[in-house]
Amino acid sequence: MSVKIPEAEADVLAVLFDAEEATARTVRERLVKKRPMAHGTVVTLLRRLEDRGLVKRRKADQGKAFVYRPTKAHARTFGPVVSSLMQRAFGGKPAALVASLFETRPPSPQEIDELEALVEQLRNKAK
Amino acid sequence: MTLWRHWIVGQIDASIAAAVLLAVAVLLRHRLSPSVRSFILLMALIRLALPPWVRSPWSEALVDIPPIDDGRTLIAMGLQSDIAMIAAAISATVSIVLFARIAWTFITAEHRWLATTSPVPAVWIEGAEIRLSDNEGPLAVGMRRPLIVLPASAMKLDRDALDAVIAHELAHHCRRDLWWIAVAEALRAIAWFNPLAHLAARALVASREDGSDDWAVRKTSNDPFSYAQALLQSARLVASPQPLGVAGAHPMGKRLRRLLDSGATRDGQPGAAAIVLLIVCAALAIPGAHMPSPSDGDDQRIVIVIKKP
Repeated sequence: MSVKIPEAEADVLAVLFDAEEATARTVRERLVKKRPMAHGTVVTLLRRLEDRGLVKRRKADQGKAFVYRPTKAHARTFGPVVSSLMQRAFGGKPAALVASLFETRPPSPQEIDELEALVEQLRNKAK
Repeated sequence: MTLWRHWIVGQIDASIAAAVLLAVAVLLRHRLSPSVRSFILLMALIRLALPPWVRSPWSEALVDIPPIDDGRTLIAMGLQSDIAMIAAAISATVSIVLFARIAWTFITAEHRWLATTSPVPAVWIEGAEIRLSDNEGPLAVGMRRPLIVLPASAMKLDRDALDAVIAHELAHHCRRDLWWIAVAEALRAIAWFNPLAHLAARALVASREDGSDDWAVRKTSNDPFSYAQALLQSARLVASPQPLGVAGAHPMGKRLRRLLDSGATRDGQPGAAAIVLLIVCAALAIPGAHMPSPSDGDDQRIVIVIKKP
């Protein structure tokens, strides 16, 4: 079974899968570059994901916020998982006939940090 | 059963040959120039896509099965075996679907990208049209009408970084990389059931990226380190949260390692691609909203003459 969800929700879910657990605020912060949204929008998206049974929420240990986490059961039915597998297996959009600067996908901020460290390291070695 | 034996032996034969070529191209990433690697990987893909009755001399010597002379014999044998015919039909159907998809993309690509992107009158280069997209890119697309698609955020890049990104995408067009990719896709569509075909196609794309990196470095700052930094600067602008379930390092790591290895063999050493003197004229002031233009007047044009290697 596969579940099709709107892109905005998919992005939010992607953050949750990455972070395992996050508040609406964290989600908003993580997505600020890719998809700037108001706090209320993020909460609505999280609500919808909850209605779909894709995330669960619980009261945070401190403060009033809710902490959301993806339900494991649906991890495999989630479109982006399949597409990211496709990307890994087939090297990007199959037959898209484009040459993309970042090959399979743009690196994540964490990966960019690592790549920058690598450049620095190679620069020092070259000296 | 003979037919199956032929098919399996043929596949193993082709796979061994392709695996050796693939291993050479991947392991010698720093030692072989990107163009040489492209040709090696192309050979690997062609070997995998050849019909099953083509056999290497060494496998003919090692495995003793009666040779099939040509396609007609093959079909005659196939008609005696239902399962073989079904398998062949499935395989052919998948190939046809994949081909149709490539053809469709080829026909519609320019139109689709032109419809979803907007022109950038301020930036002009010879050899391609620059388009802005909301969140796609940077990428090169369009085999009949060369387009360079930049994400809107690319306009926030500083000059050097923007030059580097545009030069890289222009390299894809000047080096006919989209044609290479199309050929790789077509060959992969024939040998779709063999995982090596996917690996080889992917490595072929990587070799084209390496070649374009070399080309772009040569035509801009000539300094791989500042070029690498420019790439990462633009990566930051389009960075997305890690897609789920993705493990392992980003492919750019290996690419940067090669690019920044001063001993690596480059394309066009010396002067193979020196035919083109590339002039990039970019007047970066006009689309004011995104432009970093603290001191730029409206009519100020910045002309970069990209150096001849």
